[in-house]
This record gives sequence, C-alpha cells and structure tokens, in this order.
Amino acid sequence: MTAIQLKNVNKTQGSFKLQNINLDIEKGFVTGLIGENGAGKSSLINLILGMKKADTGEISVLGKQDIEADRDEILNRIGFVFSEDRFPLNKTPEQLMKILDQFYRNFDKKIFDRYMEKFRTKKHQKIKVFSTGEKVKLSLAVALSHHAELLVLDEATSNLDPNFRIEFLEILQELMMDENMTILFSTHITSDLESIADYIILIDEGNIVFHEEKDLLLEKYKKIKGPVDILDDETRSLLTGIKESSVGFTAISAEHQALTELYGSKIMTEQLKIDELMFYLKKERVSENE
Amino acid sequence: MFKLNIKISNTIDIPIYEQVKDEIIRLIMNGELMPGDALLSMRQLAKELGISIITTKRAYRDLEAAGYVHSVVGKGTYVSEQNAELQKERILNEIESHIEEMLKASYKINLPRTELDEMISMIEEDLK
Amino acid sequence: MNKHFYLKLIYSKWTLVFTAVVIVLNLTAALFSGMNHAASASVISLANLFIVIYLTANFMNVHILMSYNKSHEFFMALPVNKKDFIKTDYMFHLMMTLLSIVVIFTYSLTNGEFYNLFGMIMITGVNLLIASFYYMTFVQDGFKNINIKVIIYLVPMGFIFMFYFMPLINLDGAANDYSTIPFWNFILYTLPYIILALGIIAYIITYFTTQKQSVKNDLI
Repeated sequence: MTAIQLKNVNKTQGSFKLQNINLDIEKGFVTGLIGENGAGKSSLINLILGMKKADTGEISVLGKQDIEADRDEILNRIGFVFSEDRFPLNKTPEQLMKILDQFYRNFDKKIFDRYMEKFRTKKHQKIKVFSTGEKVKLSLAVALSHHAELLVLDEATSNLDPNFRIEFLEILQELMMDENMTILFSTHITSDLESIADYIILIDEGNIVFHEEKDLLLEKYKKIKGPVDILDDETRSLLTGIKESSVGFTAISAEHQALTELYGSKIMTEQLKIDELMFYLKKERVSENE
Repeated sequence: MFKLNIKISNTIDIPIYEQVKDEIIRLIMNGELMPGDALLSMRQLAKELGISIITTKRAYRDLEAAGYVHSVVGKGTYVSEQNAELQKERILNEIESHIEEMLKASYKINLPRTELDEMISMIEEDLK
Repeated sequence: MNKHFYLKLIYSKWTLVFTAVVIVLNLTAALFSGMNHAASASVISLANLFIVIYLTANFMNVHILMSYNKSHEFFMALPVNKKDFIKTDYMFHLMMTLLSIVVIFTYSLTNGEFYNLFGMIMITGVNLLIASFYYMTFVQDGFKNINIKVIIYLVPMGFIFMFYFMPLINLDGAANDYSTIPFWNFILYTLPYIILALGIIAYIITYFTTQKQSVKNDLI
C-alpha cells in the first residue's frame, strides 16, 4: 500500500527544477526525507499538500488520484508542520483552535487541549509572543489534533531543544502503533532518522538520489579508513567519496566485504551514519562533475 | 504483559535487527520467554526500543524462519514449542548454572571433590 | 464553503464593526438633520469615504492580512478546495459590495441629495470590474506579489474618485458650469449604468472562469 505516489513529476520554479520524480511512499511506515537546504524537500512537500501545482506528472495522496478535486478530502486526513512558522501572529491558540475546528471535519478539541497542556503552551496569548520552540510545539499540536492518517513534517524537529525532540519522537512512535498511520518527515538532524525512520529518501538538486530501507542502506554502505598507498585505480573504483589526508583516506563503500578480503587489517571498517552517507555521496557527485 | 529485558546498542557494529533477534533468542534460551508466550507487537516493540518498525519486522521474520516463534494472523506473534535440540540446550544451560552454584557453595567450606561426588551419588539414590 | 467564509469573517471583523457604526451614524444624522452642522458633516463624510473604500477593497485587504508572516501558507494547507475558496471569495465580496451600497444609500439620506446615488452606481461598477480583474490575476499567481496588487485597486478607484465623484459633488450648488465639457451629461448620468452593467457581466463571467483556472496553478 502506498500513501503517496508520484509519477514522472516535474516542477520548475525559477532556476530550480524538480526533475522526473517517481516515488512510492509506503503506508504504515516512517519515511525520512533528507537533503541539503534548497535540494527540493520543501518543494516536494508543497506538491504533496496541493500548495503548488506540478507542471507534468501524476500525484496521488491517500488513494486519491486527483489532488485538485479531492484537495479538501485529502487535506482533512493530513497533518502538516512547516519548516518555518506560518501562524497568524495576532491570533491566540484558542482563536486558532476555532478556525481549525471549522476547517477540519475530525478536529478534536480535547486532543488539542491535551497537547497544549502537555507542551505547556499559553492558550490565551497571541502567537507573536511565542518563542520559536513554542511555535513548533503549537504546530505539532495543530498537526496532531484532527486524527490525520498522514503526517507531513517539514523540519519539524530543527528548532526543538534536545529533550523535547526525544519526547516528540516518542509521540510519533506512539502514533505509529496504528498501522494505518504514515509519516513523511524532512530533517537535517539525521540522528532523529537514525532511530525511527523505516525508509530514507535522499534528494539532491531536485533529483531523488535514493529511496531505500534505512537498515539495508546502513548495511550496504560502510565507512572505510585506510592508508593512502593502497589507493590504486581498482581500489578507487570500489570506494565512494574518497577523502584523502596526510594520515590516510576515509571513504564509504558498498563493496566493503571485497575490500576486507583484499586488504585485511590494513583497512578499518566502521558503521556509517546517515549524515556521513549524505556527505560522501555528495562528494562523489561533485568530484564526478569536475 | 511480561517485562522485556532487551538491550540494544546503536554504537556497536551489529545491525539492530540482529541484536533484537539475538536478545529474543537469549530470552527464549534462558526461559524468560516460554512456549506460548506472546511477543510484543512489532509496532509496540519498535516504540519501546525507539527503533524503526521495519527493523523489528525483520527480526521477527528471521525468528519465525528459524522456528523460534510463529505468528497467528490477526492475533500476534508467539513463542513456539522448541525442538528437542533447543530444549536440550536450554536444560543444559540450566544445569550449568546449578553446578556453578553448587561448586561455589562447596568452595566456601573447602569441601573436597570426592565428598561432593559422594553426595551427588547419595541424592541420586534417594531420587530413584 | 462556509469554513472559508468563517475565516474571511474573522479577517473582516473590524471593517464590519466600523460599517455598522457608520450606518448607524448616517441614519442618526438623517433623523436629526438639525444637528447637521458643518463639522460633524465633514467627519461623517470622511468616515463614509473610508468605509466605502474598506468595503470595496475588502477582498484584497483580507488576502494581504492573511499573508502577514506568510500565514496564507498555513491557511492554504487547511482542507478546502481551490474552487470553493474562489467561490466563497466571490460571495463574500458580493456581500461587502451590498454593504457598501447600503452605506452610500444611508449617506445620501443624510444629505437628502440623491446625486450621490450616481456615484454609488459608478463605484459599484468599478468595484466589480476591479474585483474581476484582481481574481483573474489571483488564480494565476496565488499569493505571490499580493502587496503590489493594491495598485489594481488604487489606480482605477482613485481615478473615479477624483474625476467622477468629486466633480459630481462639486456640481451641487456650485457655480461651476461643466456643460461646456463635451459628453458631460453622458459621463455624469449615463456612464455609471454602463460601467455597472459591465461590472456585473465581468463579475459573473470571471466567477466561473476563475474557478476553472484556480486548479491549474500554484496557490503560494
């Protein structure tokens, strides 16, 4: 089952292009969307929310093929958090709640109140006096209070203090107890993904670099360290994103087993982190283009 | 619901699903999980451990393939009746720990080994 | 449709309150015409002018208010179909236009001079033309450059106030003789009806075309 499907989607915005995007985002799982700033994460999210219109291609969300005709229906089932706060600043959360109650078919004031209490949010003060962290908490409460089946979170955790980030990840996992729940979240804090994401999508310059199960990804690629003198052409071809220095090289490799057989204890194999994976893949792409 | 005593580490170079699998096997081996016991649902376990759903899914799948557990559609995953070899291994584990206790106790009073052997034979007679 | 209507109501709250105040003021002044000395008359005229501008420009004003802190992005991610969004906007503007007519009408009662009604017809016609044109651009660009679009309102409305409404007021009891200007009678007393007719036609046509167009473009 797919929650979000994109087929051959193209979107040009000024000099930026999302190119030929094909994606199947699995229902019932957590998918992490990663990439540098300006790589196209927010553009992709805007397409999914029907805020922007794709130039070509098809987008279906929660089983609805026509994102325009079914916009009301689709958005009723989505909870969103934007990377920057987009609240009407001269309103209070209480007033905002009334608006939400009008818009969402299944808006649940009790849940909203519960989150407001849990997050210790000031209900009767104008949003303009809120700190960045408090605004993020408010947007989480907004996203979680209408029984959404799909959460689209754009950099939701970036402005949260570490304690609350952990609490937030727990909330997400709690929600994932329901197997109809799907979460798509973009972040640059990859440690969040490291723990709870099932799938990872890497987007770079408007292209999908990979869309893969996180576990498989971290098994496939390992970090390799070794002396520079073993870097002949053949070895180089097995490595990705080689970074050389006076004390040796570091790189990642999908062929780490072959390398271990070849060089044994001369090289060191380490567990990789997602941000390192991003870094070395980007390095490889840049050096290929040179 | 039983207390789960599963320890996993993000820093060691063993895939998380493998760690989960090994831990559950350990629990089955030392008798903390008995045949017929229900395992936590995949989603529940993922939440408790703060790991992804696919990771637990894979661990459960591997456990099922190896015959440690079986899943009942719509109900959940249960610890299976273990095969003879596994049972034997579990009992051997148990005996080992008892022998350890016994030896430790005997050291306290410097009991010679011959006397210990005699005691074992005597108790064995009684049991028959 | 009603949910977006609610949002528009919230953002039009003060305009509506002010409108009610002005209508009451107008009616009071009309009833006690004895109080109608110069000082209060000019205050009332000014209040009327402002509220008519606020009412006829409300559609744009609400969009601009909604776009502070880019909160239109927030509102546009709430569940509403683009077509319904446009539909509601058109209905709401119609309501505000009717209110502006009521305001001008009650203002005319104050003065007991009904030449203002020609101004009302003209303003309503121009207002509908402006709104039609504005929504044609809105469905293309969404909320992009929303602040600059005030020009779409200010230029034609300013023109009408300066070159139609003011002469019309000054005509009353003034010694100025406009009869030497060609077509003056036509401009003064016939053109308003033509503009109103055009406005109504444009508003009805764009009501349908903009709904169709809205689903083809970006919202933000």
